[in-house]
Amino acid sequence: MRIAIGVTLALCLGGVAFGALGPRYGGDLAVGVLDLPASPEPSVPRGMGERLVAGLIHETLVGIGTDGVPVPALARGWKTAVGGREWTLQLREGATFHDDRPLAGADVVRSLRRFLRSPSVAGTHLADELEGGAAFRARTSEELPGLAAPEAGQIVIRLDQPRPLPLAPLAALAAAITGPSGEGCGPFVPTLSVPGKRAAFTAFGGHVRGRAYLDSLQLLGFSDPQALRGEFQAGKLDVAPGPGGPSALAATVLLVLDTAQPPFSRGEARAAVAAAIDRGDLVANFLPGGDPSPSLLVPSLLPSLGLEEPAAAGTLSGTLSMLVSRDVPPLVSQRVVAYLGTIGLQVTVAAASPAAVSASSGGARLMMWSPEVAEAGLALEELAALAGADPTVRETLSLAGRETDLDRRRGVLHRAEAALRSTRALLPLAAAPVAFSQRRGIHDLAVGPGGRLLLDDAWIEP
Amino acid sequence: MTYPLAVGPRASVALLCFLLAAPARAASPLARLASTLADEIVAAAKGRPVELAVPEDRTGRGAAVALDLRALVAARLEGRVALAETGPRLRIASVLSENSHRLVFSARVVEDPGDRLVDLLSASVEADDTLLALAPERVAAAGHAFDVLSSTRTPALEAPVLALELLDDDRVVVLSADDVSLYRSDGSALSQESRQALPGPLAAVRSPGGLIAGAARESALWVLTSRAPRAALLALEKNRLVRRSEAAALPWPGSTSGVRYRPGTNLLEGTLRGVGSGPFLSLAAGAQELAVLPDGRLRAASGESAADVRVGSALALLWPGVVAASSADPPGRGDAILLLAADAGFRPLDSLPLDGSIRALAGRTRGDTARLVAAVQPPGSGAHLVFLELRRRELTTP
Repeated sequence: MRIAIGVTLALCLGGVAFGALGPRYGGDLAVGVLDLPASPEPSVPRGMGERLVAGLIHETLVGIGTDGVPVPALARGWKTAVGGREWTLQLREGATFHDDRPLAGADVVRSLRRFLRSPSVAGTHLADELEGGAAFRARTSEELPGLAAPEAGQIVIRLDQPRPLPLAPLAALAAAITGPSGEGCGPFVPTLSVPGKRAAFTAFGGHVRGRAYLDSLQLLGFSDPQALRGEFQAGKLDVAPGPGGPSALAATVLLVLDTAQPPFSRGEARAAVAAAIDRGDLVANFLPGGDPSPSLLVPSLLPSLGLEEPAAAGTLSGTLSMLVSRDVPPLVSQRVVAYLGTIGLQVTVAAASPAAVSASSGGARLMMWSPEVAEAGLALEELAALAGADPTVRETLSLAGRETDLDRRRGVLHRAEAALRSTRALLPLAAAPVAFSQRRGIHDLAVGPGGRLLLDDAWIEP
Repeated sequence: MTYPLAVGPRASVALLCFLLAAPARAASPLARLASTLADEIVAAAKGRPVELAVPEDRTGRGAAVALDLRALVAARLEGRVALAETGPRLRIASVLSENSHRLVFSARVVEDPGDRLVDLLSASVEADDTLLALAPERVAAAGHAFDVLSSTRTPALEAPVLALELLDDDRVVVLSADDVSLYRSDGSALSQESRQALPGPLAAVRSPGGLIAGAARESALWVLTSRAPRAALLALEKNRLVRRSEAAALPWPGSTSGVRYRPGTNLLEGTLRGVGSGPFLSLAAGAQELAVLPDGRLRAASGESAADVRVGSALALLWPGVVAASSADPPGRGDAILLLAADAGFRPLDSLPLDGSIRALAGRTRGDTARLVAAVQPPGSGAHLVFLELRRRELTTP
């Protein structure tokens, strides 16, 4: 009878599907990526790997919630005064850099001055709104009255006028707070870097949200997506881009046409390309989990209204050079080449890193685009910069930048998005999932609203 | 109201106590909510008769709370609005819910006949965090080694629970990441009698651990969490927790230098006689000294160790030779209290499925019955306490 009870219970207990052993501290992860940054300095990360590394090493004053509103990070809270023109941020007590030096107001001021002069669109946006920011960014003045650290643990930001979500630009990874020698205060400390090939990290015990669960991390860079996939399938990687694990609709598959040069200097040529692409077909056959709605932004940033100006079909001739970012699924880029072929274009394709594709110009570029800051207004400004100046778009975005009622501002942003899309310099092909495959036993990996793989809370079953 | 449980006479008395006592104990927040609602209903009715249905209860406090609220509102409408269940009237279809700190009432006011929407009502009051009403909870043993005589649960607590200690049949100590509280149960509710902050400064820890070294006979206990830099000795003086002393490590049976947390983690370090030097996920001491290793293996100071069974981080000793532990699978929608034979390689005896991850356990025995309290954390919400009265059956047959 004792044996019978034991066997019965073993079966019952074996059927218990849930439990409580975890999250567990300890363990190491190997993650495969398609791009690794050359430097750990805060910058504007372009691809998945660059975003991941920046988020591991660095921390920002604020984060962005799923609703696009800033949330506390290194700043534990803030208050506003002078009719919304002055914002005082309180730094978290006990926050330290990787070298255990306490984070001070002077570090924040130095880091944000660097940010305001960086290539970041969010930095440009903040400079335009800060008192003295534009002159400081243009290097016509070293004075920056709109940014000060008057007391220990306090930062004061003064704007030229009340603005909507004025702290949102501070969530950009380019606005990360660093120590005098460039030390970060993110959840992991870099211990090894072989540019483009390999980077290693250990958990930082002094992180503001507490030490990460993992002991260490290794990122391995691959230039060939197939080789990366092969290593994952061979069990040599724990996490890799691909289906089956955490996923978020966080990227726009974007075709960028150079309006400064023929053939796309003509609106008819851009309209012909737009008319040739069948977004529904692309998503249904090559982007599982994608969204074919006509919008430059993913639905979590700005829900698509489904409005689209019909494009006139047409034919083109000649050859087109198209630079394709390595993170675009190969079947998607092949399909886009086929669409372009139907209107008479012969396309020569070259693959490059996400950073190289972002930095280049000419012909056409196909990329998986995620914003620097997952906030609709800043995201549209980034896209406007990518598309080149358009007076209507600029004017509408400027209006959104002065509208402090967030509901009314959302309406203005819809107009800006539609205006930007109508230029057809940027053709949104689909909202695409940013997805990762993971081996069994790994928990709480997540994809942030900006498409960044979040490893802070990841843990491994014993 | 029926619950498909094998409820014994003792449990029936407890349930009756709950039904009788709950209105009185929970009167303050409910009465305030009822007053607000009555005013809203009078304003919406504009002299028309009203049918006031019992709100749908989504608080998890039990249907009695919704019945009480309906009765309190009806009493406050007397002489102001006619209550009717037939004829032309306004029907008030409502839901009573609870977030972390507030009781929330939401209702649709519709015309009958016609179902035309007349108004939407919503009102909320601050819940009384120091008074936790106990509601019946459905728990049944999966096996045949134990009977569940009664089971009740509290609403969600304010903070995650790291450790529990039952001082006697009525009093439980709850250790959270920031403080330690003493609650007393009267069968219908838990009332907070004392609360003591932990020594600071408190460090940021993603998943903090906590440990209570109970010494009920001495009216004192040691507490330690991985957020606090030092262990605190708390004395029980007239139902108050009073901080008496601090130490770098928490004194623990079988350890000459005590135990402490590895910084930033929930792992305990210290050398335990017969077990080793750790790290440990959790410890329990009483008739036996037990440790859970980081991979979920159980180890006893007597040398006993688990060959196949792994457990989670919650652990409590019951009768000599019987251990209660959470299960070893990752957190999810449900969990189970595993009851194991500690003197037989931790052989599984029974399991008690619960709807959430079990974060802490504590137990006391009296003859063949045991009182067990579990801190249960469902996904996406705060932890609540589940009180179980268990009776063990004869495990072997002649």
